[in-house]
Amino acid sequence: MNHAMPAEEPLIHELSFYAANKHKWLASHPNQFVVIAGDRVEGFHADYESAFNAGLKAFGLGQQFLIKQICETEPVYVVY
Amino acid sequence: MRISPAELQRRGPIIKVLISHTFAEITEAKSVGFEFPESLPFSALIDTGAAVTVINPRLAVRYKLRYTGPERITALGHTGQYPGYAAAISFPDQQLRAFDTVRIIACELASAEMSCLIGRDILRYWELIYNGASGEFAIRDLRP
Repeated sequence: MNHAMPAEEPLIHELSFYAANKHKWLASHPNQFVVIAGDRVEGFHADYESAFNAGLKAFGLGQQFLIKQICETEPVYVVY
Repeated sequence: MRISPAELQRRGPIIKVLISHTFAEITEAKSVGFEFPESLPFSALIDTGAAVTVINPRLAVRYKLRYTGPERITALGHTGQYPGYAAAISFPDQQLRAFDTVRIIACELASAEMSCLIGRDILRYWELIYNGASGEFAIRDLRP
C-alpha cells in the first residue's frame, strides 16, 4: 500500500469481499462497476457515474461504499 | 485562451476548475440539513499525459470528497495505490459544461503550484486545440 493511502483502509472489508467474489463476477459482469457496502452488493453498472449515484441512493451520505470495476487485471493508470 | 508562446510553453494549458460534491450528494445533504465546505477555484493543467484526472490530496481532504476505493497509478516513476474520490468538476472561467460525477484520484503532483491535472478521462469528451506558435489553446466540449 502506498503512503498516499490512509494508514487504515476504510473499505478493507469491501475490498476483501470483492476479492472473494471477483472470479464469479468476472464471468457474469465483466468490466462493469460493482457497488459494495459491507457484505451487501447494491448492483452492477455500466459506468462509474451510474454506480456512484446508485450507491448514494442505496446507502446515503452516512455509509461508505466501494465502487470497483470488475477486471481480470487491475488497471494501472499512468500519469507522465 | 491566448497567453504568449513562451508562457504557454513554460506553464502549459492551464484553466480554472472548481471541484465540489456531486449534485446528488448536495441534494441529499440539503435534505438532512448538512452543508459541505465551500469550493474555491484553483488552477488545473490540461495534461494529455495523464490517463485520469488527479488532484492534490490536501484538496480532497479539505473538500471532504467521498472516497470510493483505491486505484493503481504510476506517477513520478512509482506505481502505487492512491485514493479515488467521486466529485463534480466545473470550469468557472470557461464556457464549458461541468462533469457532475467523475472519479478523481488524489496524488501528490510534481509541481507545487499546480493543484490538478485534467486527464484523458475528461479529454475524451473534448476537442483540444493547442497552437504553440501563437500562444493559444481552445477547448470544445463534444458531448451531445
